[in-house]
Amino acid sequence: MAIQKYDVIVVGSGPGGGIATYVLAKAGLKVALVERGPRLRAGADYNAHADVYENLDRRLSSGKRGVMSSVWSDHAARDHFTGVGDRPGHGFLPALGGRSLCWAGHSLRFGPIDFKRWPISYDEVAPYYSKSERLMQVHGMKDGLSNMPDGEFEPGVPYRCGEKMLKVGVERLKKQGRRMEFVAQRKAIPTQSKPGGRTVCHYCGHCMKGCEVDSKYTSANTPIPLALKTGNLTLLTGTMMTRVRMSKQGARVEGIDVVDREGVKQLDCKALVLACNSVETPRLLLANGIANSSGQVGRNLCSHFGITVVGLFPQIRGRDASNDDGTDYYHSLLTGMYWEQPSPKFDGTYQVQCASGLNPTRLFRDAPGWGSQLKRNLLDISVTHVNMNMQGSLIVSPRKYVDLDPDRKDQFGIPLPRVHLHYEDNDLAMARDVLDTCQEVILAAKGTVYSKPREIAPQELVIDGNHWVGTCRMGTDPKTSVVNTECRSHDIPNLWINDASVFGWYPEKNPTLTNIALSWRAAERLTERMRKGEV
Amino acid sequence: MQRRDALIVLGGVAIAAPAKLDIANYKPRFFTAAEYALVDELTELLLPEDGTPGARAAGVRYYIDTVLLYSDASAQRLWRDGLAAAARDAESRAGKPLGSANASEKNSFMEKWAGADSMFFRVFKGLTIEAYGHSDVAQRLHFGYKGNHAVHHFTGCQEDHQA
Repeated sequence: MAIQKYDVIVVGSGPGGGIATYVLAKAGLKVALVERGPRLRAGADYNAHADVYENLDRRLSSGKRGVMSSVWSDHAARDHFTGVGDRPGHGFLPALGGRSLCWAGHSLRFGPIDFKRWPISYDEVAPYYSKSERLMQVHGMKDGLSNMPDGEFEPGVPYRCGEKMLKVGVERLKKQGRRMEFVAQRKAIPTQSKPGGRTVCHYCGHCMKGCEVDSKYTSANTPIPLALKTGNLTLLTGTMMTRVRMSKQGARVEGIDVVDREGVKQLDCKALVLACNSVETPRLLLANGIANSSGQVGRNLCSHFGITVVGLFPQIRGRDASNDDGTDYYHSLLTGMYWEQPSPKFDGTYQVQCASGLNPTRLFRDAPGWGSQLKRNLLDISVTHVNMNMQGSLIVSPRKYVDLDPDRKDQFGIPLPRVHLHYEDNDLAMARDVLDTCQEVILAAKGTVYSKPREIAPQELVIDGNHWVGTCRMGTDPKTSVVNTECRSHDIPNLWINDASVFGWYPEKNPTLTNIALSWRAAERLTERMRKGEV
Repeated sequence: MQRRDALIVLGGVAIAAPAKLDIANYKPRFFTAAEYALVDELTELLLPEDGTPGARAAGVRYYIDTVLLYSDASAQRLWRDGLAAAARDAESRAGKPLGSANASEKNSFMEKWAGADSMFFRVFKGLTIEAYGHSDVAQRLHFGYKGNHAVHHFTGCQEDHQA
């Protein structure tokens, strides 16, 4: 079979791969997007609105996990990695759009203080934040914060009653001199219609289960269809990259081998973009033995981790709680504690995403009592609770990294990735501070603490297996970094990495908006260099 | 209601629709009849009808039987053993099987059983709460939940709460 030739092959259709595909195809380059998973159909392949009891037997008898249909529970990869140490997760959704199908849409700009520890400045990334927010249709309130700049927002979504109480607590603590801010969340979900825009949100609260009206931004509903319209994109779903083919001297990428339902194929390219996520991208580089003269591929692994504190506010008992669904659970954010003045007790920062609202499927299995008292408690806790969930940055160290499992391979013969996570003193010190702060905020607003971790110890900490970053770190020194400030490999001049593997220092903020902005910027640089004949 | 008595015609082809769930006439597939009756009693004691629907009206016993049918062997054993122990406990306290006890005797047993807070009781309570929370009947009539569908606006908190 003839080898198919492209200007650029993009591997992986998640947030980074999707935007790269769009930018490159719009620039007139011939692009192939290789995605190992299928294109999923909302409503047919996942349906969060479906009645649980009516569908229970059908779901469980077919081996599906969980009682509610969601794009995650029904399509996430399983047994696809080896975890070592403190229960690391590795969220992986092999489908067109990747985990942009199941993300909550939280879109927070990193700030100028964050970028001081990067080799690029906030000002260089800001135009790409703006472009990304407009395309993604991010909603939010303008807050004027020093280190989480406002963006190009559609109208923001208001707090629920419990979150308003948290704001009261925060304002009281601020009057006592505490540094903290309580703001509304910012999400890539349209709240107003615009020409060419997506469907406006209908506030059913099922964002993370898969948006069935394609209101929430995904790679599959926005950049990829736009790329297809250019006529420059060949979309190859159900297609797994199995090998990167290098030139005879090993200096350049010639193309890739893939496997699809017809068998093995070869695709050639002038440039290769990897966007498989911060565990899969280093895995594939290590398996192919490329781009790692620095020894940093798989290293500098970071994510967010946390604890959860639940409070109750009796003051909001008796309110109308008939429809709290909104844009899924977390509508607000506690942040800004340690931007200008770092904590003396730990390095790094954290934020606390805050939620509230009645939803009977959010269970309180430990609600006290039995009989009528238990029924009253279940209702009361649902109506009056707040959920404060820590998102803190792990301390980066040699004890946290990705490598290859020497014993286990996937069905293509590629070694599975191994994710090593060991919580350290800094992580515990950060979690202790979060526990104190959350309790103080609840009590300042005259609430009570309903639940909290029994102790701050590794077994009580929960990793976010969807927020991994840093494993192909960006830097100016090829000895200590994998890609340069354009996300181009130091070692291989026609290899780019367009996912969150490239992240430098990781603040408390969710990664995806920055992933998309950096990928947009990197794709523009790739296009310029290709036009100048420098690739 | 008979299974497969509804047909959908799509594009000229008749397809059997999935039979509508009929909890009232459902025969347990994991539990024995006696175990199922005990689950019905215990879940209704834990979450009783008291002005809003209880576990029985919500169909909780069907949910638990179905979940356990597809659970692993250790979960199934835990429930079989736990229910047998609860049945023995109830009979020794009331002097008769729980199903034959009066309301006061049943409540007295549940109070003691809940108070002992055994590992199985916690598992039982957790799954019963889960089944109840996912029931359309309980959602609407106990929790007053009107969500899980489309609305044009999200108004958020509209009230002035005193903190």
